[in-house]
Amino acid sequence: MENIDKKLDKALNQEFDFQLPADFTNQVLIKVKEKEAKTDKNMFWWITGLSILLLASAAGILIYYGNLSAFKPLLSYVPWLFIGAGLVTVIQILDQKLVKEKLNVS
Amino acid sequence: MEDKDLVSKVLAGNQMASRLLIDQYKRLVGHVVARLVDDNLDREEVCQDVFVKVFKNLNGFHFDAKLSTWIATIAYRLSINFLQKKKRRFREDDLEKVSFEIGIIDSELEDSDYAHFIHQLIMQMPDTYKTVLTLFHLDGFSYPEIVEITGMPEGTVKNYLFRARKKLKELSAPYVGKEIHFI
Repeated sequence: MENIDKKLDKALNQEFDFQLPADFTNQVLIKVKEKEAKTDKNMFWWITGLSILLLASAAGILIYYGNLSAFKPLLSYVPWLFIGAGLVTVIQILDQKLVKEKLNVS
Repeated sequence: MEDKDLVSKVLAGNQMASRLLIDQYKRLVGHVVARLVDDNLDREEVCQDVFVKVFKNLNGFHFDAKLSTWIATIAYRLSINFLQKKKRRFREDDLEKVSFEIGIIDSELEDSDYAHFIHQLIMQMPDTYKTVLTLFHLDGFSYPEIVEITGMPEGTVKNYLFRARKKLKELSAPYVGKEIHFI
């Protein structure tokens, strides 16, 4: 009779009864793409929501004070707003170019 | 293809490389996940999530470890997270306290039946033992790599492996050469 240690080793090195489906690779790539699309969608709604909030705030200030002079104290922040918006845009473009294209599923 | 080439091709947007990465490591991921997660559909879902996470974080992988070790670590952690989500406790009990269910034994036992019997016994072991056995024997990881994947101390890994093998030998020895009908 074969030595039990050898028999055990052989058994332990043998595959057990679980196999992923044949189209598993495709399923993963589709899921990756779906997740990316969801992230893009979330980003869109965040930007839209933030823009609406900013516009509503501006409209509120305008209505409350009745003229544009109320925005004067905020003017010093305008360059920072542009820098911030520029940075977000650059990050988005780089993300699109470097990351998103990596896992394109046809 | 070397892992470094594979990863750089995936990061460069090569779709074939992405496919190759999945094909190359789905067996490993399947082993780790299937030992911890019971239902086949859940296993498949967790395996998919493992690869989604692999692709998401591949940018931050700098070969501080082998790619297989890194992927196995993700598979192990996601499986534990899944068990927690499903309110199924991650079993770290004492191996000696487990009461193993053994089938009805008839006559001669083929090698493949013996292997099936052993895998049935492994599935009844605490999760920590199952994982260590699988990583060491089926996937060929070294002790330090298993330490990295599971976060267990090396002494514990060696001890679990020794005790698990001893238990399997004890349980299977009386039935070697006989046929077993699984419950």
